Amino acid sequence: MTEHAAAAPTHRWRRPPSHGATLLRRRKRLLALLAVVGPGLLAGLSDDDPAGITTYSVLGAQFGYQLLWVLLLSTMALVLFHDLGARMGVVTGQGLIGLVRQRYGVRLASLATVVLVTANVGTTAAEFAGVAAGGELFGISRYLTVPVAAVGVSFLVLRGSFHRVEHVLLAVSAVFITYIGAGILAHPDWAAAARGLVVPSMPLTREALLLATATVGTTLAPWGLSFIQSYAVDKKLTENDLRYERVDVVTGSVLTGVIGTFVVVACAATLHARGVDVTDAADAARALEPLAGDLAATLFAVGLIGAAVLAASILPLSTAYSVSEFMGSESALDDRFRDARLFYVTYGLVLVVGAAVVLIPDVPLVPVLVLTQVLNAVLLLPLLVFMAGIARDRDLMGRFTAGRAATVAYVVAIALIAACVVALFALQLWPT
Amino acid sequence: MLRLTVETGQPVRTLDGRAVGDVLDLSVRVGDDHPAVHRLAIGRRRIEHLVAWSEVATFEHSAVQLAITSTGPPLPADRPTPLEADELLLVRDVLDTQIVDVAGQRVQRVGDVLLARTGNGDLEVVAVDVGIGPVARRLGLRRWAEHRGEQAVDWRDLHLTSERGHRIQLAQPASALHRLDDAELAHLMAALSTEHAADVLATVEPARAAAALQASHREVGTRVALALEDDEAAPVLAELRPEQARHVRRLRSDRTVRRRFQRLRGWRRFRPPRARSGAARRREQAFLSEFDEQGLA
Repeated sequence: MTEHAAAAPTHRWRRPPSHGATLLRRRKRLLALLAVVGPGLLAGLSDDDPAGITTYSVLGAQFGYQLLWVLLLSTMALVLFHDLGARMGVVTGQGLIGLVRQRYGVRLASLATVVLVTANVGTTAAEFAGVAAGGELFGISRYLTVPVAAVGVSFLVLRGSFHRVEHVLLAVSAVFITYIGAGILAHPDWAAAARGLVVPSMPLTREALLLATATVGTTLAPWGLSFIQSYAVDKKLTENDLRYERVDVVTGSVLTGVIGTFVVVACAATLHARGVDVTDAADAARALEPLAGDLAATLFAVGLIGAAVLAASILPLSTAYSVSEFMGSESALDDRFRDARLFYVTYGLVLVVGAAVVLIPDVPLVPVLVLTQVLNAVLLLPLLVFMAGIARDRDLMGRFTAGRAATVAYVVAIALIAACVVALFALQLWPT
Repeated sequence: MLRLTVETGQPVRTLDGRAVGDVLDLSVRVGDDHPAVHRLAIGRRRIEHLVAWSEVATFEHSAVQLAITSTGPPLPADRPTPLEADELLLVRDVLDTQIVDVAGQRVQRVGDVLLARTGNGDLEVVAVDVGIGPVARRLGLRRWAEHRGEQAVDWRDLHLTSERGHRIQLAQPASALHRLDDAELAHLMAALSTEHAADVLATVEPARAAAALQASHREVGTRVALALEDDEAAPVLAELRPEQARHVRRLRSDRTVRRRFQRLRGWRRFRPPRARSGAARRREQAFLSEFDEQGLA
């Protein structure tokens, strides 16, 4: 009693913080938060690329709000594995492919690298196809938009400092806000959207299963996993920064999910409500115009171009890092060409081939994109298994080795994703 | 010259021909410029025995034979005899790991470890091959690999970045990092991860650490100075010029500055200029005077 009585006045005497001090503290917290935003945000948002926007558009147009919960689960998987990737990079100081070579040997690493490079070239082509489609919505020829985008991306990444590259890419990411605008302008049924987000239900049809699987596959991409790890390594983050990096990863992943949700919502409120069917994101933008107005359609198209440019910037970079890591000549953007030939040649080749596929008249783009999605799906599972194995390796991860609870989470996520991938292949092989 | 990836995987037999497993790994005790193989790690899928090199009768590509018989004393199990404090496993801790070639100032990945026989029958590690040749050969592209020359880095010129290799080399007075001058130390720090660079700085004496910080690019110097633990930083800061030490202390005490710094100063390696030619030396002098004017930030 005496102790309490003695302690009480101390509390009463503590002066409440002044308005100025509170503002200063808030400003510092905001600065701290802004300072860490980067790797997670870029790696996450670049997963909302044209292929992703297409999948979300078709999901919303065909099934309304019903399958939004799949997006929620995908976002949780994204948080889980992007956080693991960033942690592996910070703790080991190595990118994903380099670690796979060290932990699993040169054969498995070479296989992963070959598939990753092939899939990344195809995905880069898909991004440039997104640029072309977005430009054509405004009446601009792909023979202008694609080369301009390719040259712009090359110039930005190869000539700019990291500081500048990151700021421009983050500014490009801001274009995703257009999807939130498009979603709001579509006047959705928010109660139905909330129900679809948290109450799992699925029509047992081939289309529903296919779209649910594609949603998982498009949200969690192999190149995003390799990028976030290499990026965390090059940012030279330390173990002390991991909790801040986690804020960044969660922010990026949640924003990725939120943007995907708004795309679904925009299409559900307009296209699904009126029974309009779409096949891709550009189609969705065109279809939105009479239903949600010019502004919504324009926002949707601008978002498509921005998403494509962001992903087209990051994919060749991610590929160049992975190839350099596998070949054993670790390189960075700071290196001169003669010191990092492999890095720069890989970067240039991925960009040029990706853009050329879209520009050459008779190249069958659809089979290329389908093959790319298949390769991404095939590669995703072993990469996740490698990551879970490395996370459990005490020699590599030291005091950051995954515990039992984390391992269970990885295994459950991998099992669910494996089920999706198997379902996807089964549906492709036996369409009826 | 023998190659580690060729020599491992061969079956091991006793004198009377009983198979006891395969050569899974070779261990060395770090310390010499070219350390001798200390033990053979033998097993089927995982290491079951660590056998001293003195127990090996023959070590040929066609046959590895131990100087013991199946009726003799049992082979030592790996569990009761863990690795010595300065002992590395070449496959686990060196092969396919990153290294810093201190002489060439490059980060590379080890494709193979090169071994040589000595006059007294020992086997010693002489270099690592960081070229594409060993990778191609291990992938089965032997003919193509034959046309690729070796790209060897002398064992004494490398710093291992695998967790165990890094720790052991830090503790070895004869290892590469302890022979480096201030500028070379600055190059090494620029190539390493921030944690490992801070370890290096905390290992050398404070005056050298301070000199290396000053020889570093100021971005790298600040980053590594921020990563030091408080007890490690104090003696190093005491050796810096007062205004630089004050500046670092201010940065270390401001968490917002640290976050902002890491956000804006990442990715690029910021190597200090090479001091090999007269022009490079002049550039370095210019850089150092700029450093004097601007401090670490």
